[in-house]
This record gives sequence, C-alpha cells and structure tokens, in this order.
Amino acid sequence: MLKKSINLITPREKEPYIIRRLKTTVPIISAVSLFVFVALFIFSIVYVNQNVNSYNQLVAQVAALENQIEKEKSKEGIYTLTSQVVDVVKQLISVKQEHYQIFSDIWNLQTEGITYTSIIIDQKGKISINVEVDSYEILTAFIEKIVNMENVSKSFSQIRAEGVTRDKKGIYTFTISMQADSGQTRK
Amino acid sequence: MKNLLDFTTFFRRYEILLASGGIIIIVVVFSFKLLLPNFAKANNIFLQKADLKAKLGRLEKKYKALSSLDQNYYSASYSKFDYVLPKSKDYVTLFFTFDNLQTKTGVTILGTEFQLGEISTSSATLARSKGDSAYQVPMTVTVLGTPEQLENFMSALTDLSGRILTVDATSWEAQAGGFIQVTVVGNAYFYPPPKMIKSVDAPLPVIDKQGEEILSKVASLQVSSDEQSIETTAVNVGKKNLFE
Repeated sequence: MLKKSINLITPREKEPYIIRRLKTTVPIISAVSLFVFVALFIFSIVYVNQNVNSYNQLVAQVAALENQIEKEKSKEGIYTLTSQVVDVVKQLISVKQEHYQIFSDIWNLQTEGITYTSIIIDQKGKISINVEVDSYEILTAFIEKIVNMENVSKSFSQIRAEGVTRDKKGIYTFTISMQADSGQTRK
Repeated sequence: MKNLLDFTTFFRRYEILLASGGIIIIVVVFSFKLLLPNFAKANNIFLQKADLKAKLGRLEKKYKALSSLDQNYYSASYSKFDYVLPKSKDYVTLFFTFDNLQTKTGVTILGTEFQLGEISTSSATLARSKGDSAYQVPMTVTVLGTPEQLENFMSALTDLSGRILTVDATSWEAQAGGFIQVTVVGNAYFYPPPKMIKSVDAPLPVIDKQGEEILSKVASLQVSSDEQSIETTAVNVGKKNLFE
C-alpha cells in the first residue's frame, strides 16, 4: 500500500543575501570587539596599577629634593647673584680699550721738529691730531710716515690733513684726522 | 496573539544578529565610559613620569652642585664686588678707586667729574650700557703723567683693583717736562641686584674659567678698614649683606 506523506510545515522563506552575510559577520565582529575590549581594559588596569606606585614614589622623591634645595636657597641665591655679577663684569672688561695703544702709535711718530698740541680719540676710533711742524721738509717726512702707517701697518685709514697754516716763524700748523682700525678701538 | 507569534518568530530568526549587535553596542559604551578614561589616566601617568624623571634628574644635579658650593666664599666674594661693581652709584668707592690709581700708577688726577643724576637706582632715566645690564655713571677724569704712568693708568681701569671704568674718548695734550695731560671721557658702572631667582628646578648658572678668574681676583681684594668703615657708616650704598 502506497503511503502518502503531506508536509504541513510551511517552507522557510529564503533570507536576503545581506541578512545572511550579517548573520555570519556580526557575531564575529562582536566576539572580536568584546575580546579586544576585555584585553585592553585589563591591560590598562594592570598598567595603571603597576605605574601608579612608581609614579607616587617619583612625586615623593621630587618633593623631597625640592625641599632640600629650598633649604639651600640662601646658598643658591648668593651663588646666582655672584654669577650674574661676574657675567656683567666679564662683559664690561672684555670690551677692548686700546686708547693708550693708539696714542702710543701716534706719539712714537714724533721726531725733532714735530709737536703734537693735542690728540683726540673718540668712541668710534676717530682720531684728530693737532700738529705743529717746524719746516716743510719735516712736514713732508711726517706725512710720509702717516701714509706708511695706512699702507704698511694698516693701523689707520681715511687719513686727512686739514687746515694747514704757516705762521711768521715758518711753523706749519695743521690737523690730521684718521680712523683707527677695528682692532684698536672699543666699538 | 498573532502579533506575539510574529515577534517570537522574528526574534528567533534574528536572535544571533540582535545579540551580537547588543554586545557591540555595550562594548562601544563601555569603551567610552571605562576604557578611554583608563587610557587617559595611563597616558597621563606615562607622560608625567617622563617629566618627573627629567625633573628629578635636574634636581639631583642641582642639589649635588649646590652641596659642593662654599657659601661663605661666595658671600664674601659677592660683598667684595661692591668695590668693583657696586649695587648703587656709590661715588665714595669711585673716589677711593681714583686715589688708589694715583698711588699705584703715579699719575696725578687733576679733576674728576661725574654725572650722578637721578638718586634712585631704579629710575628709568638711567642709561644701561649696551649688551649688559649694568647702569652707567658717565664721568670725565683729567690725569697728568708720563707716557708710562698713563699706560699703567689706562690698563688699571679694568684690572678689578677698584671700580670698573671704561673709556669712550680721550684727549691727550703734551705738557712741559715730558708730561702728558689726558682727559678721559668714560663710564663707571653699578649693578642693582635682580630681585627674582629662577624656579627650583632651573639649573644653576655656570661660572666659566674666565668668571672664576674674575671671582678669585675680586675675592682676593684687600679692602682697608677705612674704606669699609666709611662705606657702612657714612654713606648709604645699599644693602651690604643680601640676607640681612
């Protein structure tokens, strides 16, 4: 006898593709994210717990040292002030002051028949010499020496002779202006 | 009844999806509520530890340096700087300096002129020299001497045996008997101490070799009892001891 079977279960509706995909991927994502969260959370707690002690120790060490340094404040104060004054003194005395050297260079040019009435050296190394010379020959020789100082020893530059006058006695009076080179002046 | 049946069917069909989504939402919420604050704390500790370690290093170095300093030496030296670079104009030491220069170099000081100007050391009208922080006291000094004496005189102006005097301009005139008269236009200086000291972990300033030489030179200054008594009793030149 032939047995007939009737399926009373309604056929399952086929799910859309996207739902099927989600049903496979979302559980994986959730499992992974849960695992990562738990791992990171544990790691952060362990890290904080492990480091908070050494951090507190460091804070205590710093505070203790700061206290000790605070106790030495008077020593630090006097040392700091001294070093500042030393620095200022160093700056002040490091400035070149070659006025005597410039004067000496010019003074040594003086020979028989030459008289300096005055030598003025200013802050920028500009020199003004008032000279009296007994004769024209001496005057020529003196100017030659001065020019030589510019060309050979390079001690001076921009040499100018101004206001040459000759009085009744034959004495030449004039002013020489020149610039000392940078090695001889303080500014 | 039908609605309940539909809901149950729907739930059964998507239970995995709903449960997974719920977990993801919970993870996101917990991440914001728990994980991120924890990470912020950990990061804070990490960064501060690095800073603290660096600070501790600086403090240790500074404490070590401070421990090796001889306070008495620096106190004595600092007070002697008043004879080289005082805290106020202190013209008494200026005159002592010129007296000493006369004795030491043999020159004759014919005249001195100082522009004392404002009495207040903190006055804004006082000029400060370029490149440093000392105040200037402009001066003019007329000196008579031989070339050798004048050479010694000019070099003695900054040899730290007295007040530091710098020269801006000079005028040299020949006098009878081989003497030369020089008019020196320059500056004396004074340096009011700064009022602020740096933070506790700021490194100590370093006094280099040249600074040490200056310091030992000033420390070895022999100050006569006359100078001391005049300074401390008759003339108000400011606080002699910083910690009085």
